[in-house]
Amino acid sequence: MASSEYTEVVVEGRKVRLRAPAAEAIPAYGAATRVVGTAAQRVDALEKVTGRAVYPSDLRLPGMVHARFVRSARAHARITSMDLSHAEKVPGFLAAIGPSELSEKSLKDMLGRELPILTEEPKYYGEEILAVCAETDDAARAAAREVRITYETLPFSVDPEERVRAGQFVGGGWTPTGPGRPAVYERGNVQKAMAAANRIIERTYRTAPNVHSSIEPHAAVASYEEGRWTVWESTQGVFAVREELAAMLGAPLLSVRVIGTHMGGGFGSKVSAGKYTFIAAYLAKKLGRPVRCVQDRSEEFVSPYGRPPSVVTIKAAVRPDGKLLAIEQKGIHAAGPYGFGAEWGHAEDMAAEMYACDNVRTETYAALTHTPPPCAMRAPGHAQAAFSLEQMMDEIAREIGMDPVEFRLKNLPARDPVSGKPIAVPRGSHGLAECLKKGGELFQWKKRRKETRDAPPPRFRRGVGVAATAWSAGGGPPASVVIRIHADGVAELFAGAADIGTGTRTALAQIASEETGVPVDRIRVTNADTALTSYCLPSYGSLTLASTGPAVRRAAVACRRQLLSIASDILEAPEKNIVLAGGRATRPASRKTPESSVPIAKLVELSASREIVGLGEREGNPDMSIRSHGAQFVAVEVDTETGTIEVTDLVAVNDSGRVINPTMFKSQQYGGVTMGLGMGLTEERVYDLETGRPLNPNLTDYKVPTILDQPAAFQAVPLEVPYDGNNLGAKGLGEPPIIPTAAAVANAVYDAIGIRLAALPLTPKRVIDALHPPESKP
Amino acid sequence: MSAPAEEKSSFVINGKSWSGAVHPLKRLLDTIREDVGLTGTKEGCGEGECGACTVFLDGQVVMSCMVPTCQAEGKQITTIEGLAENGRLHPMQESFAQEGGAQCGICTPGMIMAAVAYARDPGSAEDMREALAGNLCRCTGYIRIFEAVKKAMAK
Amino acid sequence: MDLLDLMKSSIRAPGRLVNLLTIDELKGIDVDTSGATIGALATLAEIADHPDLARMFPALALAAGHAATPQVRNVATIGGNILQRPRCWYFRMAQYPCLKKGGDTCFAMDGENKYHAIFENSLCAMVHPSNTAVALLALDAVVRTAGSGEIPIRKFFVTPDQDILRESALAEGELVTQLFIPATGARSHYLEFRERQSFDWALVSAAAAAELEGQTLNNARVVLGSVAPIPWRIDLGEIAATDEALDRAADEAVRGATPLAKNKYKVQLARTAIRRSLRELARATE
Repeated sequence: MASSEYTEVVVEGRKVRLRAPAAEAIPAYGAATRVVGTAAQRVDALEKVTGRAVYPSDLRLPGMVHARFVRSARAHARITSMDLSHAEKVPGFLAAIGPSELSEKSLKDMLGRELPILTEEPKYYGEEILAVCAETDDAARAAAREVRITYETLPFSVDPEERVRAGQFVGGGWTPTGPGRPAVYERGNVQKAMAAANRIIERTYRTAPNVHSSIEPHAAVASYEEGRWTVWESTQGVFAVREELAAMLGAPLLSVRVIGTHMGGGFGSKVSAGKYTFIAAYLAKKLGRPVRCVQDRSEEFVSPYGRPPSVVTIKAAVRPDGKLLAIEQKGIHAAGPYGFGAEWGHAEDMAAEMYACDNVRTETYAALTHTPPPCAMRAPGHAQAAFSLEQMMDEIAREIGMDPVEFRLKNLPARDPVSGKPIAVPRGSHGLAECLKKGGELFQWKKRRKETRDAPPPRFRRGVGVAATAWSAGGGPPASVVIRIHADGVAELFAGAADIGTGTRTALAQIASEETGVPVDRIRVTNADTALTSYCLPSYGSLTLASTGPAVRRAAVACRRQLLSIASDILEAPEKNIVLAGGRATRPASRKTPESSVPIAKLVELSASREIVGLGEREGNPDMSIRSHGAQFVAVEVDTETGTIEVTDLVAVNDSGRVINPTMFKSQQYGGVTMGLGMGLTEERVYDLETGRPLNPNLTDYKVPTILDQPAAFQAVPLEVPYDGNNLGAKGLGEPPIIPTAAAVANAVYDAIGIRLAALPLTPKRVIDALHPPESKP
Repeated sequence: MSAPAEEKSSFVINGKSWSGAVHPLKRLLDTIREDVGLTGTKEGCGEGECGACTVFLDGQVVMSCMVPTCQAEGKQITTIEGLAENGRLHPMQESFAQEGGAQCGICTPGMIMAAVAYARDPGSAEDMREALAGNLCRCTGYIRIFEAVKKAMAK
Repeated sequence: MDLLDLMKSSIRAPGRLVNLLTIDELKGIDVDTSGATIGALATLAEIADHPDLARMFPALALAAGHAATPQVRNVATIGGNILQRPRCWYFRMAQYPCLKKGGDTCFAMDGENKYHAIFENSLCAMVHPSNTAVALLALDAVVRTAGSGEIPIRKFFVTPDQDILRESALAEGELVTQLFIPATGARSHYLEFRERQSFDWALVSAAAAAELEGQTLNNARVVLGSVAPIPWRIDLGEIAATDEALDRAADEAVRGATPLAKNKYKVQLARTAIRRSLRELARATE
């Protein structure tokens, strides 16, 4: 498939069309692959199961000292005094940095909005005021505790709706507006369509604030020697951290090296340099000693924050034959006091993109709340949006007496309704249709739907539900990869991408192995080190594999050509007759000659360069809407006396094109759905409205799912709908599995009890309050 | 604020005697990571809510972040680094590697310790889940972990 | 463990700590025909796994087995468990100078109180967090101390009205040494409802105990957990072991509840917990 030929950029106010570098097209894999598509063991599995894998929070450098933050105890205040005298007396105390020292420094979000690193006027509980540094971590904590701060408390609100009523908001999303104006998207004429329709449904949905809860807290260790920083950071993107940190330090790009080999989970929270990164680097220079800055679990609940809460009022009109006529949506989400990170809260795109609908209008209000700035969290926006949109689809399907699966199939778009671009799927097929059909079959949707409808309501009530998702996941440039094959037959693969636990390192090794014939266990992957690997984007947005993978294949193909050329001479056979596999180049037996082969090591040894080097770059994408699709089917059992919802059965089907490693593919499904179950059933950061403090900044009261919370039957099903937009045929998968889960559960609960639960999480309290309204006699 | 009083502490860790001067209330987790120098035991929360720091103390799984070092005095400690014998991985480690039980890997050492404890006194599938219910994992959704333990038990 | 937690949150800063784990006399579980004697340092895991306790006092074994996680049960002691401080997020955060910390307000009263008390909550809305205390109270245990000697467990837990700063009748410096549960032949059961299946506190728990005669439960009592500042005991006396009678008793038992703005649902949970725990005893008659 042809790539788009040009990218448009702006140079000194002038629009310039940059030609894409000419590259020979490599077609996507055919059906037969040797290594790609197999369940290869993770290349770093042994390090991880033995405890040898060293994470940034594990590092102990000689002379290393420890930094901790002093955070605001108020939701909004002016600091009237700071007394450091007690802190300075703590044995081991080394230094404190206050806001005045860093008044020029700030973090910037993707749209350039700023966040101070330290502040004298904290605008949310937990905002950083001071950093202290001491010989030991215990001493740093003690010193932080000993800092006496007095505040003049200022008015605040943590309630996004209240802030919008007070006019304190900006427009959300990727094309933000200024203060006091919502972001608006519109196509067709919603008003007219609604006026003409006779089936209209409206409802308001609420999602709760969620926190990533990676098991490794945010962590950075920085050392400074001879004008250069080395930073070991638990991060999804070493190059983003390098760029941001160098800018904050006012230092040349190359004076900062960022290493992020192992990291203990991110889910969107470790995409950028943090305040802790800056403080570690700043103090490392100031003190001339390595500095470690690792957050406590309680700090993980304020810095960075996670998925902000949303309030979405959605109204839809439908024709009796199931044609979706109009969608109107008003969405409010918390965006913190600065608007910083507001792009991560928007819950609008999905309503505009997901289904074919001629008349759509969305309004987004990013409320300036006294809560921490939002941060990307797995499927930012979509996970919130699906809760309202996918329940609305269920509700209007029921309204016209149509099966919700049929209803969705009837309203699938052939083109992206927003961009107008064709959706990248083969003719006559649609990824979402395939997912819905396959999932429906495996789940026995039609049969079970009828069963629950017919069942009498005993104490336990059963229900089934479905929800769907689409997520732009084509990946793309930039990504450059180098493969070096050495004379002992071992290959080194250098890629900038972080492996955030998804198995990136392993998938890349499989892709390299497929072409070069070097076995996966003979490939050493060096990744996420700005000094050793080439630039790429952070591992976020489900783009890692689809971005870096094709570059790896291109580099591997470059190696392959060199290996084949030498092998062809040695084995006296045309290149096309030679197979590279299992560490050897082999000419299969023919009628005249027996099989002959030569080790790849030998080929390298005989090469003129004594090392085979391949460089690969990621080509552009076709000018299409590239989406990963998914559908989830859920069965629940609701205990009407205790309000407990048990998910008994769950089928998740995802189409992300070619599967590189089925074990890791399914792991993404399992993990994403589980996080979706947490969002749906248990996870909520609770605020005290009187003081604006989060009341449950710990993993006991913020309830992420445990192994005992898993559905008894849980099927993850990869569906490989052919895609030829890159040389792997693969699309991204990180976010899609979390998106529809909460809505699917809520739809099943409706099926079970006949009440639509419109606020997350679906706790026993919410179920009981719905079944036995508090106003009436309980 | 008085300087922390360190006291001599000794225990056996992964079969080797260790002694050193630490504050009696220093978390065993920190003593293991900082003083003994074994960082395979991870800190996820520091307050007994995630299980990442799980070790054996006299053969029982405990969260080392909730044990003051003085309560380990004279005891036997086993960490993830002590599971392999004669350079051979423990079958549970092997199984976690083969079945994809580790993703980002930060919960893996603690999870494997809990799984090994279960393997010494195995029961039903429900018992297996119960045994792993003190360890949080945010990546896997637990399915591969469960499969890994099952496979290791079948060996 | 609870103390370490409170120290970390800057709620407590003791000048001196005593490590009791070296005192072997406080350990061990002995069961004979008169009852069970449980050392204050017996762990929840030892109690949950003790076959005689499971047979004679299932409510206690179940309660211990439901607590926290395997790692916690291996180190948490029964003495420590019944002496846990309140599970209230306002109490647990140093920034809230609540009544329990010598302040003058209960922040939960008009705050986020979905997990708080529905009984005895006019002064302080904390809930007592101990699972095992609920079972011990249903089993009429006796707390033995180095100090006053014996305290019947019915008098062990004190309400905020009696003493706002403490949850037990222990005097300063008094140490729990043993718990004794008399063998009465009563059947018992324990259950709890929660939001998450591990690492979670009960929304409502219940331990029920009664002696059985034919289709009648004698001396029936249910102790509810997580509904009041103390384990909340309801004595039902003699009651027919029929669904109707038990349901009626459950309805009656929660009639006096005084739920706060966000925890009315707990009344329904309490009713269900009473009904189901009693039914379990009745089922055992068959």
